[in-house]
Amino acid sequence: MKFMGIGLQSAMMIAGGFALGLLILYVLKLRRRRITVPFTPLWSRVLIDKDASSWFQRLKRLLSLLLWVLVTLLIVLAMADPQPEQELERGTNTVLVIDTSASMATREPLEGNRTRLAVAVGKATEFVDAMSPHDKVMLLAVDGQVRSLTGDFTDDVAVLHEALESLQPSATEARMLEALRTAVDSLTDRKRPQILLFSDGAHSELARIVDAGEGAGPGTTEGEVNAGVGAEPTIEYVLPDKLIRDEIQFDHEVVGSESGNIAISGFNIRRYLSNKLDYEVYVQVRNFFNRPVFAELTLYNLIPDESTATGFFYKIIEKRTLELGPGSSELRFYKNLALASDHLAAKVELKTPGLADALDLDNEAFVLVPKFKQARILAITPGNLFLEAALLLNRNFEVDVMTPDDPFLHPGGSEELRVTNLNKTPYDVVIFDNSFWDEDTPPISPAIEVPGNFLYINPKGAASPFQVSNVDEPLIERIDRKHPIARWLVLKDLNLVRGSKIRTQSGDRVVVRSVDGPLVVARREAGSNLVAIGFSIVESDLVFRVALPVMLINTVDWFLDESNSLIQAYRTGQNWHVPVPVGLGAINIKNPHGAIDKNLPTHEGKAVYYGAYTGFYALSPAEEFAGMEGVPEQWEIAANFSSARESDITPASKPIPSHEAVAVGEKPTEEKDPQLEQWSWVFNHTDYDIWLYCVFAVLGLLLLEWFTYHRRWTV
Amino acid sequence: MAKLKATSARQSELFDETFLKKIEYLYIVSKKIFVGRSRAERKTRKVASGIEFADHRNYTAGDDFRYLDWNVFGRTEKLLLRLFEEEEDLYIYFLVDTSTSMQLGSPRKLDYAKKVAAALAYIGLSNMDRVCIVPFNAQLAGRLPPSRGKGQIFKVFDFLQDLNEGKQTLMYEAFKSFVAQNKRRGIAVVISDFYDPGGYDAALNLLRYQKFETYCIQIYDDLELRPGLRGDIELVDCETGERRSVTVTPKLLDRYRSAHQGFCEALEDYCIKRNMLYFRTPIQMDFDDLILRVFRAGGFIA
Repeated sequence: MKFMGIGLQSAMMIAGGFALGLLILYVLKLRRRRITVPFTPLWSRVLIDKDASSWFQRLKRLLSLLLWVLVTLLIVLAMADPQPEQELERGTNTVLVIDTSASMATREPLEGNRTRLAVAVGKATEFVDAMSPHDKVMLLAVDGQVRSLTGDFTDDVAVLHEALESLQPSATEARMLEALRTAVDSLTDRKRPQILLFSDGAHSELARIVDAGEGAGPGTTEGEVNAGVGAEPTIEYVLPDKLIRDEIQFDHEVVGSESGNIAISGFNIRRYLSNKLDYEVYVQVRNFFNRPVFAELTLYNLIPDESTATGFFYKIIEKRTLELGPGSSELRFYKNLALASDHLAAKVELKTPGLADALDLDNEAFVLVPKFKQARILAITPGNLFLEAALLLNRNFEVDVMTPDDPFLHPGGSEELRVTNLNKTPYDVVIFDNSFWDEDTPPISPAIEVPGNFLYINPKGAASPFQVSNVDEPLIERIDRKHPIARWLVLKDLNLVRGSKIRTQSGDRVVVRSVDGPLVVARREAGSNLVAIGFSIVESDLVFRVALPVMLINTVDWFLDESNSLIQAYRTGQNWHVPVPVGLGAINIKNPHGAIDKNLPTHEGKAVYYGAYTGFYALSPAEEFAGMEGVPEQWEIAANFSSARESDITPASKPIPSHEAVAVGEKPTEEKDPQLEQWSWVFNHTDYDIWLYCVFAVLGLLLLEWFTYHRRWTV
Repeated sequence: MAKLKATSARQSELFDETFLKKIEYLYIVSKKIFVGRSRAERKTRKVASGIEFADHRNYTAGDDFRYLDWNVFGRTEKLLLRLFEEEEDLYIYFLVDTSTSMQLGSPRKLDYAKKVAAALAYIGLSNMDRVCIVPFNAQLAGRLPPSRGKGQIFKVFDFLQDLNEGKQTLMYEAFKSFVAQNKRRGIAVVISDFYDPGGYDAALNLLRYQKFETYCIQIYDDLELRPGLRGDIELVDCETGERRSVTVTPKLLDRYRSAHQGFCEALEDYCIKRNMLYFRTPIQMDFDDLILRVFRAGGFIA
């Protein structure tokens, strides 16, 4: 039993107060009616043995008092509006799923240029306003995340209105399937469940093209098919099992009408593999109209300028006009850019008369030119021209070569000084080639105790950080292609005279494995990055292969956490794994709208962050790590909305038909008890408005009191 | 002329003309013969110059020779004197209770009493009796001097109309004054509810002892007999102000009715035993019926 009106405590207090008042009125303030009679001696004669305050009369008055107390209690009970637990579930339980993805920011000319989200919110508000007092609603907003804006189910219309009004479109895709699964889970064990989806249907998670018809390829989305020209596609809808089996009523309210859009579907910068000092920027513009359009693409260099609203002065680098066919895209490259700052932006604007771009969110993209410097490498080798050549040929490396006996490494002759000296050197990577690590006569100090990046080529000796055992003519069996060191690496038919089987320890990752055991191993330990190659390169034909410099470049890049491929801007609506300086435990992130998320924890040099807005994000150490050595005060990342799927704003042609959909993994529902089913209509149609019964009881008691009063039974 | 109209209006409040005609030929029966003051229509014990023969008596010296019965002397040679009955007027006193208890009822018991008194007074006046209205409560409250002849009926109406509400009923005190002030005996019609805390018997005895032929007309309200009371109430005596808390139950009401009935029957018994006419009438009874049927049947009027 729950009290939906005034609280139980308040009800008790009111009831107690009224009861006390009635008691006082009855006991202390009871006034008899005065009746004038002509001759009281007649009454006196009959009252000689009759006492007006007899116990029976007192009892009758007590009954009257109890009657009024009962009336009071019933009134208070009605005010408290008690509801049985099962009654609270008498109404429908509805999950309103509202799409807040980027496509919902599309303006609808037919709806007064309101956004689709505003239209959806309007329809959802109408639904909320039409709710009965027993209906309960949970509001789910779905974009790149699924969020419940009401917490649990609620019948508070004000809360729902507030939640609906707070909805804003985000620059993300919609995780619709996850949202529906969440809705289904939320409705578990609830009576009369239903899901109401407000969406433009411009998403593909719930609609798979089975047969796209002429001109469409595999993986084409419904929206893409709609935008294109061709035969009618065959679409397969995917829904949670319970929706298909009608255990949960599902309705899809499609918002939006036919609209066109052009978008920057790709904007990135990449470094040349051969010369990482140079960059190449590319922009991809896509036309989602079903007719050719002209668009103007402008590339900007953003100069920080606090006087502007955006914080940047947009300096035009280049402006060009593009002609785009229906549903086509065009890629533009910009080479050898002379940049005044490391912030770039691209904008596209529709220039075809009579057409309007309905979605602005994807018309601008941002990218950040990464700072890069030459990697300083120290190669400690007794003499290896192949290694030196492979290093020196790379313009990205600044290489120093020393022998193990070099005075730089032994400035004071003592072990401690050597350690300190090495630690203070500006080298980013130290390569130990064919070093023998004896406990008595180590080539240098135990470098692994100094945080840094170390490449061990054919390490030997008991004091070596990698323990090895000799193997003759090892044959390479497998390469871990997922590891950055093995990227583009071809070691097929590599001939090795001899090699070593590296003994791995916990946390080691085997990059190359021979038949006999690990041959190349990567390790992250105590802030250091270590890679061991278990053979001498001069005793193999690797020195004649391009794989040697590739492997060295990959290894250095892995050490320095650089990527040889695209310098990706982050994509909105996803969880980003943002690299942070080693040892930094927490960071603060300020998004493009100025909101700051503080003390985001890091794990293994990365912080996980969900970004929903395009633009530049400023990262800084958390307060407790401020001023940490080797950690910059602030650095930036860029995020773009690069989703061709979401930029395709063509709404769904029809609501998702739950009966035609294909189920995705759901638990089978339990068999219903036929006996319970037989009587379910009784439980479902029984009215339990207790407060109403209380009012009726009060009226009945008042009628009884009136009757007894006028019969003078109780007064 | 204006006075006539006003009087006529007051008359219509008490009776209509048809009723007056009905009662015009009635007269109040007196069992006793009282000595009148003027010649009228009532028989007296006087043997004088009447018309109707009454008796003979022996002649004594000094008697008027004119009344000797010479026929008897011729037959018997005895001198007998013829006696004739003389008709005189009768004094009728209407003692009307104007105490507070008479103000109760709907219509008020006092109004009903006024109508009874007026009707009986008209009967008396029509028979050339002397009618005197004496209101009383704790004491006598004025007096309409004895009047005679139908022409005085308007005086009676005016007097009754102007009767004011009295206070407590003290019949003995009032009747003591009445008998002291009215030496001429006659009929004393007591119109009251007889709700006297001091009792009615002493007062009625006073009239009886003073040779008044006493008629008692008890007027009550049916609601007094059957009060629609229930529950806890506080009874307030309208005259004494005495209060009494009581819880009225049907059983108690039955006992009250029995008590009221007993009170009335005691009064009736008292009157019968003392050769006094007694009438009990509720105010709900039709007035014409009371006068023309009940009083006639009871031998009050003929």
